[in-house]
Amino acid sequence: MPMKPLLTRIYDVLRSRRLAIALLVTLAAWAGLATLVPQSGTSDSPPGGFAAKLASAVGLDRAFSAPVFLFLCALLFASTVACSVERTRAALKLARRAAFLSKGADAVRTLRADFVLSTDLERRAVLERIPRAFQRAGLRARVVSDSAVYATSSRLGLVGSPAFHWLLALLIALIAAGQLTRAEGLMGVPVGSAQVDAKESYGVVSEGPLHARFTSLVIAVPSLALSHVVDGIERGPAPYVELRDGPYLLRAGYVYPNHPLRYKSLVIHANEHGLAIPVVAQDGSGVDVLLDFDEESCVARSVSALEAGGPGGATRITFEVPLDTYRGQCVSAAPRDPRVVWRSTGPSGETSGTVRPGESFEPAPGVALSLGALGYYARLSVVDDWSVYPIYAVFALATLALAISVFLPYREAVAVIEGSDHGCQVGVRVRHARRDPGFGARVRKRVEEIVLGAVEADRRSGDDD
Amino acid sequence: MTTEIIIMWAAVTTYAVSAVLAIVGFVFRKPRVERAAVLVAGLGLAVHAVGIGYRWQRVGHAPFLGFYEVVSSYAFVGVAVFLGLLSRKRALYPLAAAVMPIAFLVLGGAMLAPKSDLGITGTLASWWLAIHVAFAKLSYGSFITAFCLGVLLIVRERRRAEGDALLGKLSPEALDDLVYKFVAAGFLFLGVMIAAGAIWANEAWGRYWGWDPIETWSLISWIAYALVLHARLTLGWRGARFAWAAMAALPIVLFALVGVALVYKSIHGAYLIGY
Repeated sequence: MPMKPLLTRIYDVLRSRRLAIALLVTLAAWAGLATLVPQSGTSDSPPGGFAAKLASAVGLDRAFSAPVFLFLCALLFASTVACSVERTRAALKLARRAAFLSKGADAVRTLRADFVLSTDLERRAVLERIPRAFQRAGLRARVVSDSAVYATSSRLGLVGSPAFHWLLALLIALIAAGQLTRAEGLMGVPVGSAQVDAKESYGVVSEGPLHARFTSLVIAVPSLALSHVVDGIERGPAPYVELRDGPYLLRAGYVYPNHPLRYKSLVIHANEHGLAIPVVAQDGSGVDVLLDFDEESCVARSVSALEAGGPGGATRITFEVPLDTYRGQCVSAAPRDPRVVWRSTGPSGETSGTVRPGESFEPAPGVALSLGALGYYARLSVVDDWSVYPIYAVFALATLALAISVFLPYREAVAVIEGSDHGCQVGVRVRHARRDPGFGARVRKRVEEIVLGAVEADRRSGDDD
Repeated sequence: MTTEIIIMWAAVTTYAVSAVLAIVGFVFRKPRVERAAVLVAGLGLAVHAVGIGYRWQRVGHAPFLGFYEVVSSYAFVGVAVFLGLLSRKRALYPLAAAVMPIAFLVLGGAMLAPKSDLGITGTLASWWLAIHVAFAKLSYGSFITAFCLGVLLIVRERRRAEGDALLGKLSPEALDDLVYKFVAAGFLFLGVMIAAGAIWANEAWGRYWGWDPIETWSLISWIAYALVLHARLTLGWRGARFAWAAMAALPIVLFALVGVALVYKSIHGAYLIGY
């Protein structure tokens, strides 16, 4: 026996129903296990011991970017494509068959009947009644010859399942492509200033391996509303964000939950807000120090340490601004009488002090810094992902295809009538795309009602005569 | 608030009476008692609708937020779907013996949860919330109905139904087809629910999927029902075998709905559990 070519064998494995089911079970189990393991990069503390080592070894601690998961997804994609090919072939075969049979070919007569009914009615009468019976069973009937009736449901039913599987494969591909080319980052923009959409501007950034480049557009925050009410609903703190290309204003508006600023594939969300204070060195160079609210300690704390170069080496300086309280609750806003507590660590040891905005201080010998006015900053989440809307569109189409596949499955019925003017036999063959045994029973019931029922009615009217 | 609590306890009591009648009617094969159970269920549904409507009007939003609102409305949808189904297929009276005890337990459980008013603010102020939650109710309602129909199918297949006043009118094929239809509809609705949630997450937070435990378990639920459907459509599982598969998938969905918010730290927890 000749060996099957390698590609055919691979295709046979991929189109296997068992593989598809095994993949779905494995992916579900993997995802379920992943929810039990703290994922790296999250704030949850990782557990110790053998279980943690095992989880780490198989990649469960970064479950959704681990090679095992990516391999399973790739295999699921290939399996879905193979399954789509199979379903498309089957649908095309059915469509060709339907076209062939509806032309009244003699082939209709060769079909094996699922049930046969005998009637006293003459052939012509049966031929008139069968289409009505099929129509009552939800089919479109057509008399294809003087002894055969062919009926189908909408041909749309043929498209549902293959279309759903193709769209599912496309969805997997789109998500993968989107993840590979996506860039997402958090940038802090002090109110009244701007940042360029470039990698260096982000505090936290993740870039897909195929991400082309950052846009270099200017993202400015001219103002921030601490309380923003739209349609009578409190939307929380909302920065007013402008997106500029050089001197040209591309987009502008308040950014708050469910109301991002969009421009092409760029979407800007407000992630958080905090305090900002400019720190200026003796030579006039300056930097904005960003401070996040810590309501538990009731302070605003610098996001990262400031490094200042001095004669003896670099000094690291951190800042804290004690916040006001109102009725025992910490107020996450700039205090009315702000004081800035600084702590420095450097070659000259650790020192600390308290200054007010506008004052100067010396965190290390020979290093003099002065503070500007205390203000706010907005932490913006900037996402560059072209794939989001195509994913929505494909999902909508996939849902439509699934609905067709589930609720409008392809059905078919053929009736072949044999006999003479003194009675005949009707052989009926039915076919249901999802092999619903109830469909055959329904068609039979309708045929019996209309064809045999007609005989009973004829008999009754004869008796009356 | 007191009026609302009284109305809701009245609904719980009516569901309890209906559940008792339904079980008695089923066990002793008394169609009249079973019909009485359905009548009482209809009354309970009307009282429940008044309770939900009262709260809706008072808090200014549909039953979207907090365990009490969400779970109570699931019981409502479950009973409404059952009565709607019954109006089309009269032979399904025995289903009351499965649906009504579940509705009573679900609503009773909701009544024990905190009933604090949660306002629509920030990320919740979105039409996607309504779409997401509406499809969640449709999908969970479908799966719970499929579960109850599955129970009935298994009972029907194991018993000789000749002469049985209740089960005799039910054909296993019709029940099997109904289980399939509800599983398929629930699968479709669950997919739309997940997609609506993803779109909403993208609008609110700038990412459509974050592998949050609830997102992950919703996907696992979807996969579980995809497996159930594949078992039927490609492996040809029918009857009791298919019913068992459809019933086995429900705990996963219930865990995704309630269990995950209780077990894991999740951004959904505050919206769903509300405490």
